Amino acid sequence: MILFEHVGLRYGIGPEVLSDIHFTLEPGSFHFLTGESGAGKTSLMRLLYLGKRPTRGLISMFGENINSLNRNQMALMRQKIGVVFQDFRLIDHLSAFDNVALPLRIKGINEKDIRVNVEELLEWVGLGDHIRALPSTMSGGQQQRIAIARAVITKPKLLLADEPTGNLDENIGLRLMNLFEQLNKMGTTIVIATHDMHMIEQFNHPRLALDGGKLEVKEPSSWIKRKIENVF
Amino acid sequence: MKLYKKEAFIGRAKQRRFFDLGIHNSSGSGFLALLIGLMTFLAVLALATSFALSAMAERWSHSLSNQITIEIPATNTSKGILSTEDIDNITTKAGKILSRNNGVESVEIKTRKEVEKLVEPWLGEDLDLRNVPLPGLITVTLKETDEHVITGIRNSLKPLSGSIRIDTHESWLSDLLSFTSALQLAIFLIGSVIGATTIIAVAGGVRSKLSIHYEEVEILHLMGAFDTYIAKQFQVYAFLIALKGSVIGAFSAAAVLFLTALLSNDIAVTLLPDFELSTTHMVFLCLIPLMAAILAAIAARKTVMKDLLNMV
Ligand SMILES: Nc1ncnc2c1ncn2[C@@H]1O[C@H](COP(=O)(O)OP(=O)(O)OP(=O)(O)O)[C@@H](O)[C@H]1O
Ligand SMILES: [Mg+2]
Repeated sequence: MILFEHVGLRYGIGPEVLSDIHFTLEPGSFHFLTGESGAGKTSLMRLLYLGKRPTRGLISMFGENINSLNRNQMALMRQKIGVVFQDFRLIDHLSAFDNVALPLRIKGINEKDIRVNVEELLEWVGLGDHIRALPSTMSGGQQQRIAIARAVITKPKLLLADEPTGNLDENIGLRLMNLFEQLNKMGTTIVIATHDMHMIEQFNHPRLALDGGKLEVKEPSSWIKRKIENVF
Repeated sequence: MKLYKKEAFIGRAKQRRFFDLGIHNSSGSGFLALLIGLMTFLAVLALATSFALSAMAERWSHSLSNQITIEIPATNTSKGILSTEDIDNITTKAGKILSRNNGVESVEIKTRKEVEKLVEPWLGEDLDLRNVPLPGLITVTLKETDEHVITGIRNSLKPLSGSIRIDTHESWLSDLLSFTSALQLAIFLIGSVIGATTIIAVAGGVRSKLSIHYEEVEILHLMGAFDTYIAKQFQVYAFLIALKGSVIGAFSAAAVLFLTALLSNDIAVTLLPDFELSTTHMVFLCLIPLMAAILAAIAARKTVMKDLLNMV
């Protein structure tokens, strides 16, 4: 579903932040994206959510070379992608409700359905009491949950989350990870960038590991362990 | 739970928002509205003047177009100065001949008193006009202005006196018309400048809004919004701002026009005898705010659609 070939990215005239990235993501797969701070996780995410074009190489998504798309086709492709930004990027003057409703409004869903779905989801992420609150009046963890709700409200084909559980206590973090698992079982392809080794170990998913601008795909550690156990 | 439902309900009613972007509550809107208000004010005044001018020209040319004036000069090339009796004589005869003409609607012979009144401003009131030879004047209203009729009149009057002059007012009328059309052109140019200024102001205002809300616009893009979806918000914003400004501007202009009409009726009757507007023109003037708003919306859309091409 997603194919990167010899992809490189640089900002302006700076050095290549990502170089010669090569990988494929199968539909319905679940990957963690790891790497130390500054390794380029957010940059790779930007390529994935079509927020930037690569400086070299080929990216193909949903079976189409993204270089051949016009603006409207790009927009349609973005509608299939849900993103949780590292810095949330909520719209300040819109309430929690309107922020989460935004992707649905962009898709032209009718207001009645929007209302039902958004309220239900906000309830589910524990923000039922804050439906009309502005993001600026909410805690980091609450904002993060709005950002997650906004990313999943359209049931996207591809879900990208950049440090989605960073500000959350373990309980809610786990609950949201379970939400991601559930979406994944329903067919959503998921990439989650994270530092959280604890979480990585807890869930049994392969890793896209960034180091020095290069990317390496690593099978889940527990899976490797099991494999080794099977050998003996 | 109950409380929340109620709160949500009130919230909906109050917050039912059109703008995903905060373009309506960041600064700069007041200035744009004021500018568009001023532009509308000028446009309404200019257009009203233009309408009044054309109505005036229309009426004048209509009332004069079928009129000719026959002048029997006091001096005659062959006989020198004619006596008052001679002139009266010729004038009366000419009047009779004219009345018999089929193309003539009515004939009005000016009395010597009327002619004296006409020349008075040029010769001064003190002058004793009794012995001054004055020309005879006949105002003829034709059924329609037709070269043949005028030629016929000219020929039928020739035997009376070789020096009879026929004034068809044409040169005066054409002067008047070219004067008013020059004014119309000037007003049209002013109108174009007003329109261009409005477009430039809206484009500038929208552009600054776009850069203030760059981040939000980018988020909308990343969620898959089409450029038209984003442009629509700016369009509606520009429309509402322009409508607000231009309605106020148009009302102010209407007040000024009303006062002008009042004053001109009081003191300047002779100067502005025909300063009034037809209903069609009134309706047209009332549509100006709407047109200003539509113009602003189009300008906003074009600007945003163009600038968005530089974004992700
Ligand atoms: N907009 C930008 N302009 C210029 N350089 C940038 C930009 N964004 C990131 N970089 C650079 O690219 C490199 C990778 O940054 P990136 O944000 O992708 O790292 P990261 O893995 O997400 O880090 P973190 O874990 O801290 O979020 C860094 O050296 C950073 O300085
Ligand atoms: Mg990052």
